[in-house]
Amino acid sequence: MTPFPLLRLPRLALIPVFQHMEPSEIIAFSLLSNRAKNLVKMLWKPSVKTISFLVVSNDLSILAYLSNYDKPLRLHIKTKTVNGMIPLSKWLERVLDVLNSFSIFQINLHGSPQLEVCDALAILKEVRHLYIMANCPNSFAKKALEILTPVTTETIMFKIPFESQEELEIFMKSNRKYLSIFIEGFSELKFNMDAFLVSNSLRLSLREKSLSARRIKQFLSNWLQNEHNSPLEHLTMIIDESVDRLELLEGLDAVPFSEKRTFHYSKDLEIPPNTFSGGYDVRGMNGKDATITFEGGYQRTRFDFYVWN
Amino acid sequence: MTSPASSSEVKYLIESSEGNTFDVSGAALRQSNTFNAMFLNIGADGPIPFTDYNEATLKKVFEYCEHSVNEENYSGPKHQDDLSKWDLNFFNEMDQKMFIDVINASNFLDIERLTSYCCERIARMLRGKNTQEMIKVITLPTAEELEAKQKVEEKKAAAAKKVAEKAAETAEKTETLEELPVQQLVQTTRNKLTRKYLSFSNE
Repeated sequence: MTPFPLLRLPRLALIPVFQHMEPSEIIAFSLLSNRAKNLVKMLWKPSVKTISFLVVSNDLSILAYLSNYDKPLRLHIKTKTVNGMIPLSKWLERVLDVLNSFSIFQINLHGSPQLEVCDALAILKEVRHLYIMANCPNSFAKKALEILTPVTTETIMFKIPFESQEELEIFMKSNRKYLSIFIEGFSELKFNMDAFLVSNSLRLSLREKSLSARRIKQFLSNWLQNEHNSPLEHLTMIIDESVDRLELLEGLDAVPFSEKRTFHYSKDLEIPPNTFSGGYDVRGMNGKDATITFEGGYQRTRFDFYVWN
Repeated sequence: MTSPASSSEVKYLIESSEGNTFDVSGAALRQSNTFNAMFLNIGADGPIPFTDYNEATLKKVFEYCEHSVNEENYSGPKHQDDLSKWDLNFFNEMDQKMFIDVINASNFLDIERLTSYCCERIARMLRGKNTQEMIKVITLPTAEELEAKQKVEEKKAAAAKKVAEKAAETAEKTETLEELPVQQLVQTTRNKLTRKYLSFSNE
């Protein structure tokens, strides 16, 4: 078969050619050369709804939803560079350049033996949700967090990759938006809630049923005494139902409040306002007002701590 | 040889790049959006010059238009599977060169149905293929070839720059000689001749 001289076609005739191709085929075409990439960029204007990444072992997968296409775009690349193959960082840059989007909706990191995968992710400008999965190696997770935290809105950790309280606190200070930690036994590890006090996160979420009333109270007392000028707006914790609410509130000068109120988050968080009823109001030494609410669930209690602006 | 385009019986004369003319029905021509925009309302005085395309290509394009005169209006891309036997024969009997010429002409004449079918045919060549497989079916310089080409061009540019610099240098010297007073000019020439003589004698 004689190779077809695609570039001899008029540029406008390539538009219907691309219309007949699947997005994955267009991406494959764009990887042929810079010239091919520029042609695709000029003539194919995909409207990206969301892009998600998955890093597992030696593979990076991309799932992108594009307007005007029924099926999502699925791409895979080996994270280990093989001879003759385009390096991961270059591949990723080309793909996102063609899709004209360096904003990622979700990244799930299960880790990879190749730490340089994290360097390739450094081109991302915005990440909405970053998941550090439980099986992600610590070294990989730490490097990924170092690179991606500045551009990530919400970090969700199913493991804490840090070796010490000090390392955790350094990370907590660097996270300036929303951090969720879904890990049982947080307090049984070598970590304590002091890390939450020094955090620069606007919203914190901790699923930790083993936290005692005494430890939560200690955190609240420290916050009220304003030992750290925390920018925290909202702390959520899933705690054990057996935690005594009265014991927790004792000595905080908490005032019961029964009316409905709406809490507005900072614009940076892009979280819609939250309306709730009731709770207990407390006031810090610095004059900041906060509200504590409890919501019962099956074998658990949801504890919320809202700091009013 | 034209008249108002309302009647499908009307024939138009088309002129090709060779200067040859041939008839095409108004109904066939009206599938070309380019024709509609340029001549439909005002008519054409004499043959319509599509002189960027040869006679064989234009005849092929209008053969398709004549055939699809009675088909319903074009309503977006279709797959090759939807093509009739006649359509398939039409495409299959073209060699690659003719196929490219037809796409070019169809694109210029803006005949949506024909352009779309041609492009779908090209897309088929690439269907389901990854980057490495695509390299085998299309003539497209790879990144490495482009890089090599760029290096050659850079070398050429560097060589051209050197030549230009040398030429400028020579021009500057000539200019300097012209500006020298006569006595100095004589001395400079003498020195040059001496150097030349010395270089010969060394050989």
